[in-house]
Amino acid sequence: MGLWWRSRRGGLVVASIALSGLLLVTPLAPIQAMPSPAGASVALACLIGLITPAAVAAGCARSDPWLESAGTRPTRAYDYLLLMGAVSGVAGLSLLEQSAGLAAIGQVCSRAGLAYAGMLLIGRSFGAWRSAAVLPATYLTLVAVAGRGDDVLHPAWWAWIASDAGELSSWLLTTFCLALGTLLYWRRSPPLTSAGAA
Amino acid sequence: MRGMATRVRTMPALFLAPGLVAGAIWYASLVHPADAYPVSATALGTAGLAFIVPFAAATAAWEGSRLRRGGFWHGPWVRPHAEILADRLWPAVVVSIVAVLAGVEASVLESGGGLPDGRPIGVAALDIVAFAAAGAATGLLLPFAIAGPLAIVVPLFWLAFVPAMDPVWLRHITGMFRDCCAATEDLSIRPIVASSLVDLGILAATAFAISNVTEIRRGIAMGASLVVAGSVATALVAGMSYAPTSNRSLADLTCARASAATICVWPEHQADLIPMVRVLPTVLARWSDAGIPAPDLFTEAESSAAPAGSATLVLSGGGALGDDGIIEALSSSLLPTYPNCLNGGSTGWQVAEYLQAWYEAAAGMPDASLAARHERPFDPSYPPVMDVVQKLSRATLDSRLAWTTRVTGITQACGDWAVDQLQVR
Repeated sequence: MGLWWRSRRGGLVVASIALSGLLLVTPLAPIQAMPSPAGASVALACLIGLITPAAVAAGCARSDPWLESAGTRPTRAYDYLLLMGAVSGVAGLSLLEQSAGLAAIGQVCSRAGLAYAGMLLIGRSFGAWRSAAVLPATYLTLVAVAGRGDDVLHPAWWAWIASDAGELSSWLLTTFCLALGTLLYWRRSPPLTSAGAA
Repeated sequence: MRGMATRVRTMPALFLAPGLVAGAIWYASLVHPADAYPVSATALGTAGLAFIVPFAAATAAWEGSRLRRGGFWHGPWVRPHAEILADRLWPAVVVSIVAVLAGVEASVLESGGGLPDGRPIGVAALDIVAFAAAGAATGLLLPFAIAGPLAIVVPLFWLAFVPAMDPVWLRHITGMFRDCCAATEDLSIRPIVASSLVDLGILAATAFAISNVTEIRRGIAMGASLVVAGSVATALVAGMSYAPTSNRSLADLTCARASAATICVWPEHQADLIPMVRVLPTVLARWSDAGIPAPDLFTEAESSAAPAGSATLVLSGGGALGDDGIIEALSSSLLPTYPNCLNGGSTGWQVAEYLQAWYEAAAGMPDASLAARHERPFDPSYPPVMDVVQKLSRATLDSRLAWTTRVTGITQACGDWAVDQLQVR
């Protein structure tokens, strides 16, 4: 377990959770941007939510799939739990900050982080940890560029990370994304190629 | 050709190129540039940078990470590092610039043609080169698992979130010029220089980041490049408004004499000049009969740049104004500018419609056209515009002059005013 923790750079993951929490309490976090006439209005907190999933992906990308597939330890389960634990940590911290009045949009960051975790698992199921974080980052760009719905206040259904934090459907979609990612992660064998290594 | 086929197969920048170019054209179709002003259309066309630059940076990071993982970067090669890197980066840079050009061309075509302006394109190209180089350096220095998302998110932050921050002039150091330009404006030199400086600072910092100097020297040099470039750039644009613009040169105006007055228009409205020269003498004669004073210069120049006493024309339509449209534009140019009220804002603009309708009626606009334009007043409690105009048509010259003076006075109001002052006495 200790070797696994070190190989995944567990300390870096913990640092990423702390960094996310720190950035969320800065006055910049609630800034909204709409770079495109067809884009959704995205809060900077949505970018902050990507830090921890990317750090976990970077840690897991240091694995050796060949070697670990032959090992007796359930490293795949460890990796999954690391991701879930890390994004839950960010979610908990940001919700705590919001309830304490320190962060204005902690819920938005938590929801984005959980959605990115689902996408990371989907990306991992079809490729390697190394490139898995490109999927949530690309999704975020697409939301900003083309995610507008009926009007400025309402993003398209697929751009749910830009919705109001109180919108139930956005949390349902986040749960669905996470569930799909989990399902694919466990049902699809990871590709045992050298591409899995960093 | 075989080498090129391998590149297309293995380089994301090349095999994703059709999607990026199609996206840039789609994006340009969403913005609607005014008239046929190439500067405005070009600047709007480059707004696709918000996703084109992340693409360039991410695909460059991929190439950088391939050099890193393969162990090629630190190999004992004869070719210099810059040459090796350029060989990996040109597809990302060229494809991204092609996407910008496609977006610009789509925007310019929608605006009605003309040649694209080189300045926004030049800054956009420099943005792409700088972020592609930075992306490649990130890929060389960090695992792709970190470099990839970083290369997408940092340019997105720079081009989407910085323009949303205060102070509003901060956006002028990013190379994002989508707020340029109304017909009376030109792209200012200050944002061009500022954005270019920041891009050069990023390029210098990138060069230091992958150089062989010690870590401390590298860090100092990188920091210094970014801080110096950023400081000079912000000093250049500090205090500007949200638009990266300056007044358009008056030398661009095309002027023509019509009876006792001169009309000056921007080149994109030149098609309106001949019909205006034809209509203006009649309008001036009718205004003179109605006691409406008219200036001897009607110009599209920004009021702050135009000669004192001239009327400011605002044209749109590109040669399709028609006689009624010309009368409307000329009448509108006679309206006073509204005051900059500190508390509560201007209230007098609500009566400008009455003045405009009277000027149009006096200039000979048919009743049907007038009624269509002024169907109902700003507020239902105000008198119908056409009733006032008809009373003015029957009133004495002194009564008209008194009404015009009174209503012109109301247009300068910042607070309450009595509605009965709109009545013709």
